[in-house]
Amino acid sequence: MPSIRTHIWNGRPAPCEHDTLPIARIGTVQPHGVMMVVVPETGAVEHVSANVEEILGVPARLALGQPPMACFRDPESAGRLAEILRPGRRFFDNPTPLSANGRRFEAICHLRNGRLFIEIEPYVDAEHDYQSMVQAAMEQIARQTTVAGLYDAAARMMHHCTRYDRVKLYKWLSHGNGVVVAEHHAPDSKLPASFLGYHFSAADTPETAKEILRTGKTRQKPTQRGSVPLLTRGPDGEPAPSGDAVDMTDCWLRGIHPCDNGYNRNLGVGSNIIFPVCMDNTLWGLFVVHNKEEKFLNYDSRAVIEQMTMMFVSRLIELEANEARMGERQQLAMQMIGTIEGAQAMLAATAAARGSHLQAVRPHAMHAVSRHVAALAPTYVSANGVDAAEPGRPEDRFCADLLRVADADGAAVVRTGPGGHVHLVGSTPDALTVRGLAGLFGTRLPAFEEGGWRVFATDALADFVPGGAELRRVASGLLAAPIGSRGDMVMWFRRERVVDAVWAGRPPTTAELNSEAMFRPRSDFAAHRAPLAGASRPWLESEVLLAAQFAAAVGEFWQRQQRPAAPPPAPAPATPLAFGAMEPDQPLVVDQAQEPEPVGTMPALGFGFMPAPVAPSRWTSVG
Amino acid sequence: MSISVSVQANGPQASVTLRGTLDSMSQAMLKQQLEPVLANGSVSQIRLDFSGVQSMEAASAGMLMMLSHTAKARNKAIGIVNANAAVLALMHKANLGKVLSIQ
Repeated sequence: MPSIRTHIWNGRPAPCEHDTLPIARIGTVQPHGVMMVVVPETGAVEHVSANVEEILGVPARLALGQPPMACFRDPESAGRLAEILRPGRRFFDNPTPLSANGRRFEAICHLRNGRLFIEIEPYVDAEHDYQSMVQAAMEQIARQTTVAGLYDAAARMMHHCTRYDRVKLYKWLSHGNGVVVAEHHAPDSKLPASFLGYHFSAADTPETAKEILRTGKTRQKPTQRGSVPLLTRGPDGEPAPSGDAVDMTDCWLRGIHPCDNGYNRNLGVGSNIIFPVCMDNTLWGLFVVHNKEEKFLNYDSRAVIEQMTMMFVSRLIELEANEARMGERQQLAMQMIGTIEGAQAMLAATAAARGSHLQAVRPHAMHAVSRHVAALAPTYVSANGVDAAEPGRPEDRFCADLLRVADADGAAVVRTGPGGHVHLVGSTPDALTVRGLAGLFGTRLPAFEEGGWRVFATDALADFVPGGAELRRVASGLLAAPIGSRGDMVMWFRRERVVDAVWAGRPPTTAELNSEAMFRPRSDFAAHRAPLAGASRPWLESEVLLAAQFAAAVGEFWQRQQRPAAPPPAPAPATPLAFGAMEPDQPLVVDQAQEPEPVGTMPALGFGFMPAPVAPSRWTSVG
Repeated sequence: MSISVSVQANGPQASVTLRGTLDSMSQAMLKQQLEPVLANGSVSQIRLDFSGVQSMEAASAGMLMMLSHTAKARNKAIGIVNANAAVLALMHKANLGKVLSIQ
């Protein structure tokens, strides 16, 4: 089942000229190491980087077609490579120490698309040993109790493991832009410029680069000196460029696009490492580590940082949920479901009760209950008729709770079918617009697929749905979940939050995004002030999950109400109410003439009947 | 619900069977279910049976590392058994074997 995060749509709205760069199949390799691509069945090298002679002392034409051991005369290294080539191996205990030409190396191996990749990197000492680094990282991450503290601690730990000049923690925002949320400088940093709080344009990262980052692959660029070609045997048997034949998605040594090299040079960076922060196969952000001089980090150090990044994500989810009080909001949602169930039971009992004295009480009671839960009850009472259902007011407890569940500024419940209406709470678009939005799922907005979480969220609705300024103002953030499968839906809205953003350089215009300029490295990183508009506060994964669970629970309840469990009690005779409308999807309407007193005069019928909450097992804990 | 957990403790060994998808949103439940096992002084070995885990994502690998850290601090060893090929591949990619035992 796709993770909840795949239901949050906050991508870059406008395509960019460099989005389709063939980054994974770039056909080049970074100059500090040797890459060999081996056919496992034959053990022969099919592709090798052109620098194999410079680094291992064996010309490419002699390496191609031979087993990798041909480049290592040292018997111990040859033995280790033979073990790597053992038939049937799927996993490798990286790194494998090797030596050749009087130098020490580390081999890092993986399989992809039926080929064995052996990447041979120079051996360098780590700043600390693996165990002490991983222990320190675990302790630091576990100790943090706030999101901000976690950001800072993680940036500090990155520096502890790498000793690079500057560490930035970069978080993606709506529209695909990003912001630096934490930064750490070495005490003797040669890159003193701070980017803390700076925004970076979405266009800085091509979509193909993001695709690779989404796999969690760390990107190390120890130098900005360009790349060397990957070679294979040409038709004449001589080495020829491999071109785009090899998918290097999982490779450490994958070559660098000239544009990327230029970007870093213009930043004054000689060496950098990018550790993607992935949450359920989507990209949350990046740790970007910069050094003024060329610098190489060994495999174990990179492995620790990758692990720390995973621990960071795990702890981040916990702390974000704590800070958003998700535990309380989950309890609240469960109570609301209980309230709806209780209200429904009360309506049914009141409708079935006999006795003339109930004639007057019944509509009062039914309306009092209904006005709180009407929107989410399988049957509901509207004092003014179904077409003019009263908007809920945030001061009404049930309405306030509906907003609190999602920490929203507004909410709407869209009811379809005969007598369908839109129930609005708080700050929302008008009912007609809300209905229009609901109708866009399956066209401009994604359909709610069966078999997974049925929910949609975006912080920037205008990126997907053209609307006026008013829609953007009240509903930049939309969180929507269907109730059942007949088109009923609950929606939550968040207002636009305009950020007075400072950008690292002027963001490109739309015309520039679609021009050759995108293939030239950016050179302007000076502070540029421009508002970041059209987006709301972001929805958390835990909030989106809770919305999906809430709507699913309401839908389940409605469905249960449709099943005749037991013969219903006989209705009271001579009732003025339309009991024939007690089907779950049908409204129950109170005559205008019998409109009851406002609920405030009937406190006993408020939420005093709270039934037991629904079974907790229905809910996945988000706290 | 994306993950279900059942725990069986037998003397010093606790066997925890997981079913479903281990992702960012299910990790809280797993942690909650494992807390009594980690607090049980008579348990010294925790065996996580992944035979029912269809997929696992990076945040969960991070959670397992943190879990192993907590377990070590309480003198317990954690091991993972019966993971399917896809889950095993992710564990190896994350170098999880450097932190806890994978069989």
